[in-house]
Amino acid sequence: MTETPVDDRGTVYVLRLFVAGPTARSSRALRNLRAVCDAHLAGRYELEVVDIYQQPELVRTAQIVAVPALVRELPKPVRQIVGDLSVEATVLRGLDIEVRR
Amino acid sequence: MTDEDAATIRRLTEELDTARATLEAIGSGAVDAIVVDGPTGPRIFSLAGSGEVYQTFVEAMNEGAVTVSLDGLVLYANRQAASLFGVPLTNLIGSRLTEHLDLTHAAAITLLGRSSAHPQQVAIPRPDGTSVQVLLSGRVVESPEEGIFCVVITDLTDIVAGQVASQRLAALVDGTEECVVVLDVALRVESVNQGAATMFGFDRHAAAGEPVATVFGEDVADLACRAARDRCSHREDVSIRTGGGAGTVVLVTAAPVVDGQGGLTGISLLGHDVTARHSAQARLAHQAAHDQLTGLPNRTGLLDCIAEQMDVRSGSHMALLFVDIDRFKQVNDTLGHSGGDDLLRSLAQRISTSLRPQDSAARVGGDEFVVLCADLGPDRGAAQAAAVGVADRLLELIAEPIRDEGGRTVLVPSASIGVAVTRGTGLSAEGLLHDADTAMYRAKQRGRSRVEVFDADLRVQTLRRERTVADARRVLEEDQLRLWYQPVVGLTDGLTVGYEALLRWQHPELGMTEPRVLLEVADDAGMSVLIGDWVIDRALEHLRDLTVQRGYAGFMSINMAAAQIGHGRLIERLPRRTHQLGLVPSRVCLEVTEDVSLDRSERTIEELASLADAGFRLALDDFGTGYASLTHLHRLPLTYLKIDKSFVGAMTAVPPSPMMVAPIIHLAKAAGLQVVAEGVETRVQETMLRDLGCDFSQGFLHGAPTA
Repeated sequence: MTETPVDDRGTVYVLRLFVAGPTARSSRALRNLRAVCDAHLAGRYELEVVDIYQQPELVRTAQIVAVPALVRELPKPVRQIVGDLSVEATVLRGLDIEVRR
Repeated sequence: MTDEDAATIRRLTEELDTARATLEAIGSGAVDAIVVDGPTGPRIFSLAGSGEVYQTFVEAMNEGAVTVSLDGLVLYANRQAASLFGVPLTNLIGSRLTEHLDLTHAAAITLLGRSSAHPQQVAIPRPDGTSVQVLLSGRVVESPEEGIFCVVITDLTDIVAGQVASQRLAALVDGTEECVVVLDVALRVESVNQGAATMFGFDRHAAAGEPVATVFGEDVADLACRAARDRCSHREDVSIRTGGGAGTVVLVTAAPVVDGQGGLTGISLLGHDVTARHSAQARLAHQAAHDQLTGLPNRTGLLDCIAEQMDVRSGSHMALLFVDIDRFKQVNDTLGHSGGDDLLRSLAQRISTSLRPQDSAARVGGDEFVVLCADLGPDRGAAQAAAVGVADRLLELIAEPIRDEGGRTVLVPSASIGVAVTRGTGLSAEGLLHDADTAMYRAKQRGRSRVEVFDADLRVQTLRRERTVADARRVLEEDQLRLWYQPVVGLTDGLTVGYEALLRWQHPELGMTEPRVLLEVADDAGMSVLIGDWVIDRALEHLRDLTVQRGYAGFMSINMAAAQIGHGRLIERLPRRTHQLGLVPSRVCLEVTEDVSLDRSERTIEELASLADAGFRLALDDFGTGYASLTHLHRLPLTYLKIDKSFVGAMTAVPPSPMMVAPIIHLAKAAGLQVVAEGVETRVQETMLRDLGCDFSQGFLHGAPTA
């Protein structure tokens, strides 16, 4: 997580998940995100989780409206997905990840 | 449409999609909070069920808190947890626990599972290379979707450090030879170290729970009681009397142990072995109060004994017997110094064994012993009789002859004893000792080897004498001394052959007086030598004046005090003075009494012989009144023998006394001496003396002493 592995596909994803405390929805969003990333971005993503109560200063720069919210910092452009990330297809589409079948 | 336009359209479409999706999520209740920009920063609006209150608690607590999914994903962590793991908060949440612990996934899950039954202690390795000891207390929470671990992480750093410190302290306490003990509030032994067990000599393991008095004795128990009662520490030396530590002296400090509220929780005892210091002190104290030679108490020890006895105030009398060995200087001359020491030890032994149980003996000076007789009863007369009885018995014991290896008697010691009796009031220990000393002095004066009791007469004499001593100290500085001169005349031709210098005291109240009283106290006043020097100087100056002014060619006789002779001052000073004044020694005659030759040591004889060798003439004065014998006539290189005036007076007394003058003159002639008759007052006496062969005459017939 602290390192940024780069595989042959080249694109590195830097993700930031904003949550509002230890709620069930926060946990759910986190679990869902990790499942998607481990399945499709294994070895080429970096995830930070921000509790907006603990670190409100990080909220403004990210232009967060509602949480849980996932922000794709990289690759550009910045994208945002609000909700518990329970629908994998929505997450994949929001992160603009091509799924090879 | 340009490419740029196409990109803008795509971006706007995406933003629109995002906004739509966000609104949809909010509308479907898929969010926990809404963030609205405000002038002072973002404001967060929590939606129902987000648990903000609990979160506040979690963030405020000192412990780390994490929630972990059953498969090891960190779902939530508070700031304290991030700080313990040494990573940013954003990198902890969402990570896997195994990334932060040196454990396999399975081991980490097992650890969390166990922590819900018992807190688990683990070390957290940090990215900076350090590690921290923590306690994990977990709990599995079943949620509708999936179970999670809620784990509280307690930092053990301070506790571990405290444990290490206390282990070190325990090692220190156990390793030291000092005694360290903790008592509970009931003063029972709670813990003891080995040092205490060794010092006091008990079994360390049997001591726990026992009362302090049982283990450490009553003295320590008393100290602990006082510390508990006064709430302050007490310390004192405690002598261990019984058990394995007997003979040891321990400096024990008992101090109260209190809790934060000042409540007593026990007593601590610290003990330090001071036996060595104590025995050194005891030895010093004994030395300070005892005489090394005989082992008897010395003057200090005696005064303590007397003061102690006076404090009893029993109403009973006590007596001091001041015992002075007669002519001890001669004993030393006869036996040598080690022989003298042996005699003193032997006498100390004799005196000690003769005492009653309540009496004690001390050695207060070279040849002086004192016996303290206590508890002599309420009647003064009976007490005095008893004390004199003890003194008489001592005289007998002391007079036991000293014999050499062959059984021959070498010496028969004798002593003069002064007795002072008191009831213990109105007199200091020093005063009583002084009285006994004074009585002893009278015993000496009255012929030695006898007992005298201090009485009212003696007190008056003492006072008078003390006053004279004080007067004597002033005679020189107040110029109260004079020398008068009396001619010595040849009996055959009537010519003056010499003068005798005679001391007179111009007493401020009594007028011109005989100096006998002065000379008696001069020794005590420390004035003998100074007065002697003064006499010599004046007499020599007068001789010089007579010679220069009148062509006088005769001699000058000067009387010598015993204290002037025997320490080398005379032989050093007299020839020098004589020479300085242009006089020859043969014109100076030194008169010594029989006592001078008797009482003094060999050194007296030697110094007088040296003076004779230097040309000075010696005369034996007052012959017939002392104890001089023929032997003594031979010991001194004499020129003249002076017959005491009492014999001269007796020649013509009515009725006439036995004629003593003739044999004395014969004796002197046989020894080759010239004879001077003193106190010649009549022509009849002069004629008789001339017919007996006497050489010179001195007395009122030829001239009274004149200034």
